[in-house]
Amino acid sequence: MTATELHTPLPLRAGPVDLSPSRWCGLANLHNLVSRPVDIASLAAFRFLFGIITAAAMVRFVAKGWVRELYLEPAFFFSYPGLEWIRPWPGLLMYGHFILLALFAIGVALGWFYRVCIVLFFVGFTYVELIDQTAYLNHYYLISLLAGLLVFLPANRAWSIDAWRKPEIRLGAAPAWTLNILRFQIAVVYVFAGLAKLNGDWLFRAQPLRIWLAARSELPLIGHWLEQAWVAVCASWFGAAFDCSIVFLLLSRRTRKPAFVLVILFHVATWILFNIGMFPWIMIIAATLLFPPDWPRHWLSRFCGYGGRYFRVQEWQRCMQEALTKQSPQGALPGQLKPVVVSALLLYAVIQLALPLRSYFVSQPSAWTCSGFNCAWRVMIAEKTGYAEFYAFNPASGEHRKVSVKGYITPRQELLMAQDPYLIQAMARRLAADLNNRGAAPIQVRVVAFATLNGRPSQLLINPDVDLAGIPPPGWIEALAQ
Amino acid sequence: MKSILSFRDCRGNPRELRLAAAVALLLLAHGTALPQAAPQPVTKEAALRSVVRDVIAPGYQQLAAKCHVLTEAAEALQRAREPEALEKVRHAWVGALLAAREMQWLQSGPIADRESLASFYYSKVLPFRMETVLSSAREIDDSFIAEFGATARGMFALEYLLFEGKGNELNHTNAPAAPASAASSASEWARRNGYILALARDLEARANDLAKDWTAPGEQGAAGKFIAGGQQSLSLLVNELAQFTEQVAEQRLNFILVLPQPISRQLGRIEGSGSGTSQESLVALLEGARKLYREADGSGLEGYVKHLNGPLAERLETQLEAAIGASQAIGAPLEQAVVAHRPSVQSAYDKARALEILFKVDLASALGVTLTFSSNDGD
Repeated sequence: MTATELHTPLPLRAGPVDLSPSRWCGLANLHNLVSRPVDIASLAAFRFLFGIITAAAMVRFVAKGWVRELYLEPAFFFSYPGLEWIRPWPGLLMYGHFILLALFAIGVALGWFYRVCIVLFFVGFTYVELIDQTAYLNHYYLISLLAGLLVFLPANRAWSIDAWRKPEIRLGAAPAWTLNILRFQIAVVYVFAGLAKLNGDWLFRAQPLRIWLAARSELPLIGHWLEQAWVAVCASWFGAAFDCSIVFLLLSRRTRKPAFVLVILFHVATWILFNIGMFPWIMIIAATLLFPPDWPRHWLSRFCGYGGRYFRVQEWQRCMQEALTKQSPQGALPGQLKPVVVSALLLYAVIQLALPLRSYFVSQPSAWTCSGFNCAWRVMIAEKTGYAEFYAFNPASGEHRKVSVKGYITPRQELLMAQDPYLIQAMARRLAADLNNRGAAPIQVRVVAFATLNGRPSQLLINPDVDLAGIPPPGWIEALAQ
Repeated sequence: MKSILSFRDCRGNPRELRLAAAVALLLLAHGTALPQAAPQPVTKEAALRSVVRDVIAPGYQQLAAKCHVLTEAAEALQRAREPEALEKVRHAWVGALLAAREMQWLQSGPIADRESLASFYYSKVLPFRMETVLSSAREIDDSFIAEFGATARGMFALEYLLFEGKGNELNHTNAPAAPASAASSASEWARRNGYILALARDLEARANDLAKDWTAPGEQGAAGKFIAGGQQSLSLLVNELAQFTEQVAEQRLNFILVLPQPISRQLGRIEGSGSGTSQESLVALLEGARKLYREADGSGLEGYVKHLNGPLAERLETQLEAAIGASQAIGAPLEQAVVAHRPSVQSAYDKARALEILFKVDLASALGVTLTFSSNDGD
């Protein structure tokens, strides 16, 4: 059997996605999006790549010393409202937590006790992210969402140790929703990231890229270009166009290959230019979800063919062929979905659309107020620097004195807090509670906070006459001067 | 001739039309950015090179020259026991102090590596330790000097030896020793001046080392490393400026504003009160920041900021002028002005605070710098 023969069309294989309007209406299309069986290979490949990337991310987190810096050094954490009970493990246990997360991620990649591993990874990773608001990153949020979705997906039913150990669980196809929900999630990230860039700062002032690119001007070969204003303008327009269109370019059969090359070039460039950790790699592997569901078989059969032709390793070729045939579709999950699953999918989709949209319904830019900024895929659109000083004010005597936050938070937390009015408020409340515990007189905490957004002149971020320890009045966050 | 942007030609070819639209869009976008770009933009590397060539190296060379003048004056004093000679040493010391103040914003690099920071800037000298040196029979040579801690060596040990008992018109509460001119016996005189000369020579040697470090050629020299540091060096500069202006505002101006009255009982806590140089020092500190920002004929930090954010460059310049102007307007040592002309000290503080915010927030943001300052160090 040749490699080409191996790639015979499968009965349950999905064809290229048709983007014509007629395909997007009617119940038949809903059935296509939800119940139609599709090759499980894409899901299995994503499981493997996701596991590898997240395992690497956990190892990197430990190796860079971030466990200590983010979770062991701070004396105070900016908890999410209602989640104040979430605290880091003491000392070495936190390191153990990350090592376990890496092991769970490897378990996910290999499909070894997959369900246990993905559940524990999701819970363990989300727990870490919920400890401190200053640790929020868009790609950590994305990892949590993807891991949460993978909990419910049959990603271990092919090309996994579980499927190898228990042949009865093997599947060749899965209902389309299992793939499409992941596709939807990735599309939400790209499209909302693109929409967020359609603003004056990004398009006409080339901010914040003007600042960030100039900061990387010592890079070899391209460095001197990065200080040029026109480079920032071009990069801004290209970035917005890329984010807005790449999902559609990847879905279309005609543009898929150049689009994926573009994805790789774009994300590798962002990895070189900006300090955004694992985000580029996660997005590169996530882009494969937008390929036809059988892409891994296609690629593996080609790889197998090339391997046999150039290396003449017959045994290796035989193993590959065996893997491809043995794990070929043998069955599919029931196509009919329970109403509860459909409802859950719809609810998830509505939430994922509503969260980014909320930032369009506030009067002030969300990058300035930090209201509606997180969980909204407003990726890399704000260069914000702040500075905050806290003052204890005794209303009875009129006295005020500066209060240090040094013993509470780390310099990293302080930098991030100083940009965010809500984190400043949380700090003020903690200071007020401590001050009131020490003295009889009720103490107010007022803050002098300055910030700058995307190269604008700095200005007051918070009304300095407002007691942040109490319930601040409307307008406590100063309006951004345009 | 066929024009590639002719609408008629493009009409039948959507690909060309799209290309034309894209080019037009890019030109439009470019056009919006062009007014911000200076004709010959200053690059980061050029800015760092200028900072070294026109600010740091000349700054340390001037410090070395002033320290040399101080050494010469101290030698003259040792030769002639005359009030004029003492005045000359004092004058030379003030010159060296102000030269050091102009470079005080730079707290890292060779000055830290050579452990010379304390010699130039640590002001908490201990009179009893210095009196021990004076009363010791051991010759004051390099090895003896090397054994002194920061509390008996450096710029402010010299201030103690030269000015104690003179200072300004306010009385000192803890003046334990007679000034150099009043030392009674010839042996005491010789010993005291020997100490002064040894300290002056030590300072001169240190300043010379720093000047040599910053003018040494090659990539491994301080200048070479600094220029090659790129964004890291820029980050260092902005961090130094941010910390420095915070210290000027809080530890000099606000500190003196909140000192308990009467001020005459707090003189020991005010830097430069012994020599009456607290206000001159303040102006020199801010002048140093201005030189760092503006020296080099527009090819230094100012030029680079102008290239990236023109309006910010203007605001920085205005605020620097305002802060220096307000500090000069105080017109008397801070310990006197805070009693006699308190609003002038308050005004200088307000201006320095505004400058601090500009450095910490606007400049850091415009240059993509991460600040590592530790603020909120109040009480």
